[in-house]
Amino acid sequence: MRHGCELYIQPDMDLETKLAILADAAKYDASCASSGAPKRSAAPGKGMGSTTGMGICHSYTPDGRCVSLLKILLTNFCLYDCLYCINRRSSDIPRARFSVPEVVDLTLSFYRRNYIEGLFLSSGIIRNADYTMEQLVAVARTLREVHEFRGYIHLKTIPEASPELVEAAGRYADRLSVNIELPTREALTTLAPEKSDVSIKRAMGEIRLKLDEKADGGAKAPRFSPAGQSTQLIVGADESSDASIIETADTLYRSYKLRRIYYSAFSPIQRASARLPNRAPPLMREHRLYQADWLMRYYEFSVGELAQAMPGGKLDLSVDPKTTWALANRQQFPVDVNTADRHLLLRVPGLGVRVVDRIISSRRHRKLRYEDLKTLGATLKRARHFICTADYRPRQSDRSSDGLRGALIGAPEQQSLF
Amino acid sequence: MYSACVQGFTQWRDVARPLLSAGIAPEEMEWRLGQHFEPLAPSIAASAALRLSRQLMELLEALSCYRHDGRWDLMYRLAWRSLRQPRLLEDAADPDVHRAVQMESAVNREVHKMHAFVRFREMTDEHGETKYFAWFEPTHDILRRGVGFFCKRFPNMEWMIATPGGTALWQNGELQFVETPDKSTLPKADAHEGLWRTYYRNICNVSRINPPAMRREMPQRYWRNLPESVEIQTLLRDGQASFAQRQREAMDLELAKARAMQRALADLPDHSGGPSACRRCDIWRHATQAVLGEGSTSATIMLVGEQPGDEEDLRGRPFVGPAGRVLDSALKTAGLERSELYITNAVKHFKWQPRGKRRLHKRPDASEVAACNHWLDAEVSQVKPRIIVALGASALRALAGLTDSIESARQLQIPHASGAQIVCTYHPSAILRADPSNAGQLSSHLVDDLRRARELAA
Repeated sequence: MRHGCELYIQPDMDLETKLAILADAAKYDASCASSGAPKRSAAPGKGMGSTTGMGICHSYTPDGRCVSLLKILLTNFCLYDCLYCINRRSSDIPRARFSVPEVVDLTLSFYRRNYIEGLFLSSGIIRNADYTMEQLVAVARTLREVHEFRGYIHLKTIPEASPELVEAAGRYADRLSVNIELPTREALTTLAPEKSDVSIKRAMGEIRLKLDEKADGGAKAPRFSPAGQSTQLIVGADESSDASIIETADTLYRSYKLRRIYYSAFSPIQRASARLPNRAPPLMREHRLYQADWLMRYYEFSVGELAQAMPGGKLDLSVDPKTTWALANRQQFPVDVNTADRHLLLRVPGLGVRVVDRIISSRRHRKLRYEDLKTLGATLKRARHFICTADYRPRQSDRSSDGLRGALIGAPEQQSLF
Repeated sequence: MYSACVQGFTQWRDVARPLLSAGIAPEEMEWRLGQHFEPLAPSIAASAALRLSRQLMELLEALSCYRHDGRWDLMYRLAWRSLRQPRLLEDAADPDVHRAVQMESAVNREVHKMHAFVRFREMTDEHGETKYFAWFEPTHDILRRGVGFFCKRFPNMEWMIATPGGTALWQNGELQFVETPDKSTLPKADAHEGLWRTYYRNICNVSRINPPAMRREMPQRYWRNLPESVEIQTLLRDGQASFAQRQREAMDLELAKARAMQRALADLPDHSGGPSACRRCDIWRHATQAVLGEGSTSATIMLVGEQPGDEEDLRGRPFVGPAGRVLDSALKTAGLERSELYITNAVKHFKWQPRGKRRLHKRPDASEVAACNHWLDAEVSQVKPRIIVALGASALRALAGLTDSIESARQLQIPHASGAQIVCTYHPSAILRADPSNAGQLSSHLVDDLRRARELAA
């Protein structure tokens, strides 16, 4: 291990070069959200910043992703050698390190100009977990206590950092996250030999316990990460199936009360290990995983039901998982939109949560007809095969699921990539 | 036929109120947008007070920002119809409601985009005071609706947001609306824009280039006022180059080797790393960590429970949740000191099933108990207790292979393979689950049995 790594810093490196290196090093973290923080604003006479609870994307880059926070690493020196990571110690990328005041100033200057909602700070592991975590906490503490900064702060939590530091991080940050990165222990052992799934899960468990304490203690309990915790899973760096990713996701959601899991299609990195795939990031697979994740969280689908949408453990890349599930469960359709309950309506391909709520509210006033569904915003291209209305029944209820799938693929599909 | 020329929500409301209370139908009314407010003939002065729901008023206020000639007309029609059909807004399939909802979300979206895309430039004036200026071109009349956000966010800065249709000025903690200054008097650059562009360039992952997604969220009409947008063309070119390069590169042979190694690792049971790395059964997959026994390794009494619970799984220690608290109080009554005992579980990982938002304990099956015996045996041979207290049926099964009920097993003298004697009793969580009429009795049995263990160990 390269313990003396800090010696390699060029003291004369200018701020712009550091920013270029340490933003580039942070871009593989998919998380960008600035939502979930309690509403607050700056008081007259002191401080700056506010949060609305919703989160704001201040810009979009040509990769289609949102720029909400100043997302940087404190340093890209790292003791670890995780093969999927551009910052691993064996990679010969240029290294840099920000000082605490540099990050604080940069955050405040960007914030004042309305470029960002706040800061997302992570770091390579230098010296040890506690030392690294202390540096991250120092940035957040300075922003909050010295500058009365009320904007959003997301801190990465370093597994095995001491509980006092995690507590301090939770006091200043709106969100904490620990990235599990790989969905199975086997993959972690192969690709990130120095990381352990147990210490990652323990770090998440520790955060959950503190979130529970805060929830039980109410206003009297000290502030702790009001926007909860999140994590990231890399998709396509190892051979894990979609089914095992979804199963892991479900376990993580239930065990650690995560607000969100980010799925990040593995991007080929410069000077990558030969053990990793060098091909375009599997963006469609990532998109389908997000859809499956949404089905679990907002559409009342169980992992078992999702398994029916993943024959052979794989999500169908050409059809969304809800449609795949519906095609495997034709006996439940067509669903009468004038009488079906919410749970069943949520299962209809082409009907989203908002459309379902509009259907339920407006059918108290009228018998819904096919045209009304268009007005309510349903995607009829998919929905029409699975619903009936006052004036409509699908003609092809005798059509085979395979035939129907073909017809659905034939229609140019709306593809929104993350 | 009546007509009115209004600008802004307040004017519209002042005209519409008397019309509505006089029952003037929408068809009899013609609305125009204009600089010059023309009040109506005094013959239609307000009569009765009108009651319009808060939800409707909020909707109307949003609609008044929508830049379209038809807005006043639609607002009046909605108000008029709502007075006759109070739950009109619930009917999302109604054409007027549908149109209004669409317009409202367009207005709110534009407000959101204003919050996102306003870019301030810093300027220090002749008195050495720092001020911030922004130029923004919204699609709808949303300056007043959207500006409050900046007052809350930057109360201690002096700033101006200028738009073609009006300008908001924040000075000394007060908001004013003023005439829009000549655009050429606003600052043309800012020292930090270079850093911001550097950040923008480097945070973009060119291997995932997706211009349609960018354009959908950040339409091109905003670009000219965003300093970072000058980087877009270069990034798009880099993205295309990276795509072409990847197509030329074939997949590496070594990749296949790594994959094979990964598969081999997955199949290999690995016991070298202790219980935390154990894969003798599958419970570990959904657990946080193996929860090992703790206490004195020279203890004469060893307590064996079933498996860690939700809290134990997170904390990594046995009996620290609700059942642990029951156990602690029973130990105290029985005159036992927890630190002098060795406390562990028959199964080291937490097995659970989802119930709503919670993780509910699920009893480990016989094969899982048997798989974990490996670790329990190791603990017994290390601690060498004289007495082992089996807490509940799973512990009894693990220690003695018996499936008797606790009620009957309590009466038995059971030897353990190590030579220790087994005292069998109820698991503390049985007391938590028990009917209140029965819990007291179970609890006193638990205390009695612990006391018996203490006497036997003495």
